[in-house]
Amino acid sequence: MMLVNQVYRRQRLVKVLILITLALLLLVSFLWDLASGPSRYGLTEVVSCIVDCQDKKLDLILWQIRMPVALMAVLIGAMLACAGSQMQTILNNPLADPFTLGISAAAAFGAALAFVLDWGLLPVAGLYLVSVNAFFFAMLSALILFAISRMRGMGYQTLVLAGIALMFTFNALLAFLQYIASEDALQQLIFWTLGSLGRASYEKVLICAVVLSVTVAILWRYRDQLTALRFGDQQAISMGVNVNRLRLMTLLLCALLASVAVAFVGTIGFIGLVAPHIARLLLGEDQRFFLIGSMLTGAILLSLASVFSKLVITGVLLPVGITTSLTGIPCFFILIFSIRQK
Amino acid sequence: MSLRLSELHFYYGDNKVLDGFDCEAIKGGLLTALIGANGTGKSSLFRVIAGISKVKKGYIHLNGQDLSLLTLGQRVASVCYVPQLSESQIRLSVFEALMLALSLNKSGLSQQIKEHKVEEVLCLLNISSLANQLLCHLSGGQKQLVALGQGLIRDPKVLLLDEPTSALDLEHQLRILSLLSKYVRVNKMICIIAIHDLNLVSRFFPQLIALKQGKCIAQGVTKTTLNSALSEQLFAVKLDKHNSDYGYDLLDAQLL
Repeated sequence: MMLVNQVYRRQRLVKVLILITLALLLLVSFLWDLASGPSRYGLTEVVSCIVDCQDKKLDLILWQIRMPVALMAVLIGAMLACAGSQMQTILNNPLADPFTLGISAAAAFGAALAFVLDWGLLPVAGLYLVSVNAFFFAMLSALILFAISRMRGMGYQTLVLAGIALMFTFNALLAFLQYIASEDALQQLIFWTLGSLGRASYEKVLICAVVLSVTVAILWRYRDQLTALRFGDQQAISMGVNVNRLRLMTLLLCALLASVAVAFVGTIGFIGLVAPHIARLLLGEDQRFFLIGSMLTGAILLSLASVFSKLVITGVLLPVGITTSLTGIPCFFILIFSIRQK
Repeated sequence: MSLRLSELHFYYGDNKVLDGFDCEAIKGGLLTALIGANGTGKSSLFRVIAGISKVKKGYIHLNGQDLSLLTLGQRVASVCYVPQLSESQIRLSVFEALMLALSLNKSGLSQQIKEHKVEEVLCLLNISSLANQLLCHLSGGQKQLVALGQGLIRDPKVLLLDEPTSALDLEHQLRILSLLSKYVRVNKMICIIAIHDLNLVSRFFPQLIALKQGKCIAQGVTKTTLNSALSEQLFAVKLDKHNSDYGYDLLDAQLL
């Protein structure tokens, strides 16, 4: 008979293997993303071009167009999933994510101010006017949540309700701006709110990579404390976790991740909500596996969504926000049903 | 080992919960029952001792040391509070839950030693068969045993258990209290258990503290302190006297 610690070790090994499988799936979807697009260059040509490129046109398409989009899909997917997973953890609510807590709606309102009124918080932002506005309003909504959470007697369940109230408030303000917008501005705004990777650049990729790395490094340091939060505040405190400080710090980090992501690619829902659920079903809630698994799952989902956004209508790049849910929902349901049968 | 609670005042909002709670030094090595009606401040007293809630006034001394001078980390290393059962749906295995409690409080230990300690506690509580099951798949009583395990694995000097047997069947109630009795005696630790069942109090607890409206109204040896007058004062219930180890017995339950 196997000893209990041997079974535990075997379970850990299985989880490591699941993470490796997810990483391999991400690599496949990333390469598929690089190999798809209106100009008909296939996987082998793209891979050989990465190693040593002879074709000038392919070189340009690969490194200037497809690579930033594919990298952006991976990073944004990971950022949204990371934000969603930690929001679900600290608020102890399976429906919490940047989208449902109003952070995305606030960002969309900020962007709308730039599109419709040409009004920016930082007039010198230039090309980044929309992104800067979106970022500031997303952070503003997070700070409002932060302030509410500091109020006396305010439980985290109330915080979720406050987030939902914020979402409706910013959506109403957004609808007002849409109502008064010119036709051109409205079109731009709608395209932006659908979410698009088309505006990717290496500069944005670098910013996302830095923000994600720093955030994950901090969260990783607090992995055990975050796992302990799932046992409820009292038990977590009795295990030595400074619950209030941890919750506030994580909320701000999630807001940073979500606001940078939304500022660059527009509002993409679903990933922040569902990727953590998929990771939880596959790997459990030990943050060692859950955090990494959520990010890999989010990255895979958005990368696949990016591929499908190019494949649905040949020659047309659909906004990735449209294909995200359509790609992810089947994966999610397959997983739910397979676990239910077990 | 001794724990002294002096003049503790604690408010929850505007409600006075502990109203100058004061008791004699609580000695280690023996189980101490904390009895009182619902809502009289038993859980608040535990939270105050554990440092989860801050007292408005009063002192808590462990072996002469003022606990309020310690950081949260130092305090939880000495005092462990296991709250009442909470309905949590956590996708974490029992083994992982115990490893977590250990990692948070004794981070310096090697993986091998941690695994060994987890195995010891699983064996002690007789829940080795649950080791690799997810907490969300366990019954209320099984979760309670895991929570107890998370407390014991930390080797605290003071263990505060909030109704640890409320979701357990009769056999497990007797088994766990018997086990805790021995464990506390061997480790000479202070263990205070909030409990409603006076049968179990009379059978397993050599000493008790009675709490009413935020005040300690009785403290001492169970055999002499737990009587019909006290029961009437606390719960408005009379007791019938029978023979037992420490005093009163309503039900003659035997551990098989």
